[in-house]
Amino acid sequence: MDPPLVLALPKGRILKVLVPLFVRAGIDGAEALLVDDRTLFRDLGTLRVLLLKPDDVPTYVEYGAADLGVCGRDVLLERSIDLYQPLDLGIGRCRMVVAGVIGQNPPADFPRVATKFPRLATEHFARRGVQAEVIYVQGSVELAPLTGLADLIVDIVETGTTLAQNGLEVREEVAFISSVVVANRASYKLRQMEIGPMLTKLRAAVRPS
Amino acid sequence: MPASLQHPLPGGMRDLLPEEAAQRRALAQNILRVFGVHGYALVTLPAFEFAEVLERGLGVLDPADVLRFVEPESGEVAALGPDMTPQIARLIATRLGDRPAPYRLCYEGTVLRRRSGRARKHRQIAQVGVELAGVGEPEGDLELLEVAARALVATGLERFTIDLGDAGIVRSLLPASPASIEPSAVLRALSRKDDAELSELVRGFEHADALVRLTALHGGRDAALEGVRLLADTPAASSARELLELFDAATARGFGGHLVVDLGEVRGFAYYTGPIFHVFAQGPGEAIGSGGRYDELLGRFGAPMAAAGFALDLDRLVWALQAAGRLAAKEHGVVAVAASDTRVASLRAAGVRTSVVASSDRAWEYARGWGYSHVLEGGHLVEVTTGKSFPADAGPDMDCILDWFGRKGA
Repeated sequence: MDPPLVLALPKGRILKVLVPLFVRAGIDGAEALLVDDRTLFRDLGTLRVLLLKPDDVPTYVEYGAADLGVCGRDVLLERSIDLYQPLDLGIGRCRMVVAGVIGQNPPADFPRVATKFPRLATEHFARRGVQAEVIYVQGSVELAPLTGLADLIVDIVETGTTLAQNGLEVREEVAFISSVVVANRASYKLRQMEIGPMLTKLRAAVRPS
Repeated sequence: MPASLQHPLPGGMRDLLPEEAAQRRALAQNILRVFGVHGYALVTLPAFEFAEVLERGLGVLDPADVLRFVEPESGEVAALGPDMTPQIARLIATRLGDRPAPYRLCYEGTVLRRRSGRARKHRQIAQVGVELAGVGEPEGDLELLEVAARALVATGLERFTIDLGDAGIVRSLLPASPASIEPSAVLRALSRKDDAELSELVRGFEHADALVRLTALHGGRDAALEGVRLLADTPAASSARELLELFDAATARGFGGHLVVDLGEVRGFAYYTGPIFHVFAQGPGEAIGSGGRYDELLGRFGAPMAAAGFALDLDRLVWALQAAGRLAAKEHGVVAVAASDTRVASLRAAGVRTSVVASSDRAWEYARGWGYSHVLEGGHLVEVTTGKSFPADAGPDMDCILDWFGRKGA
């Protein structure tokens, strides 16, 4: 008897969008995932769901503690995690951008850049031949250019409202972000009989034909 | 402060304590025996070589992963073997030219990497593997698949999957692509089965549809068949057909039950020229072994000939065996109390691990601490875990005991 198939999902914002998708895909009992009863995992039939901090999802899947997961491309890119990404769910869509104070040009040489994504930021500027000093911050990235911590930021933007409220504007696109299904390499091969049909159902729910 | 903190190890390095080391040794011997009976001769390779030589044959490995240093004797840069294959290739090209092909060689050894990878990847990786040079496709590949399957079965692992692909498929589709397509980005998207990203990257390219559909072409024989159909009018037609033929030939040899195919597998793309395979089993979230065909490798060492090989990662194999509950039972052995008599000698002669302690009160602690199964004291042999006692006087008693250990494979 095989252990249940383990699916790691991010708690919070994405989960709220994900659950209706799962319901459409016909995954039994998915609605219950939105009820916060503080349990760390739920069993939906033969599927075990782990509710994790979004950043932890790829870690669980990479080590094989979860067979499948849902996470943002931003996390996968930043940590250059090598997992199968067989399905783009088309949810959690946003852009990763370089932004700066409206009307203020950063120094062309050696700008300081505050970001939660130091690796992506470094790569982006290196590609453009700009030597940037990348400063890692954990949150409230918009504050950095307003306080003189940095000239620019690299951050995720959904609608741009937060940027505008803080007097910031988008300067460049770095990447387009969305949530994808990730799969452990070994699990994907060993449990294709279970994973395959589930992805088919999810794919149909993502792109209703 | 515990002593382990006073004498730390570099990250990614580890010791194997007695039980684990014994298990590992038994496992490697088991596998090498299978390699041996298939005609693969054991070779031992140097711990480090000149980087310039090794790096000629570097396969799927990033050159940044190689541990290098300046060798004081010559002043040249040397590298600690990151992979056995280039060393074997050098050995075949430089040392074995006077022997008739094909070359069937096997090895057991430790490879070293500069960086410790992610997810329990150690920097020091214990491997066993084989190289087959001078036999082309498909006979060589079939032979390797069979040897791999038999070696894994011999370890006691019953459930494992060999995932078979062919580097020729993507190799023949890509060069036809226009310059606007960035091959490394395409390969990255393919290797992650990221069809959304891939569609964007190859938009407008004549084989775009085939490339995107490769991400879903995996599974049983049906997938291989589907691949032949899908790729029939592309430069990858012959590779797809060969993959199906190899799958069928393997099935005919009786180990098709372990096989699946993946036509979109591109790991090691630059290195492999034909069939590639990865072995998976429940437990470690990564391949426990991998291999493939690299017909261009020997040429880089001046002896061009077809070649293929595979290696099994012993750490991950142990992990898989543990997950399957198939790791060999604990070792047997006897702690004898002050008995420097003929019984100790006959136990040892029969291959039973036997140590002698001076006093009875030390015997039990010693047996438990070092994993011995029995204590021999006076006229009795006592089982450590159960306290069950057997008469053990020299003569018929002892013959019976030796016979028992013999059956247990001690």
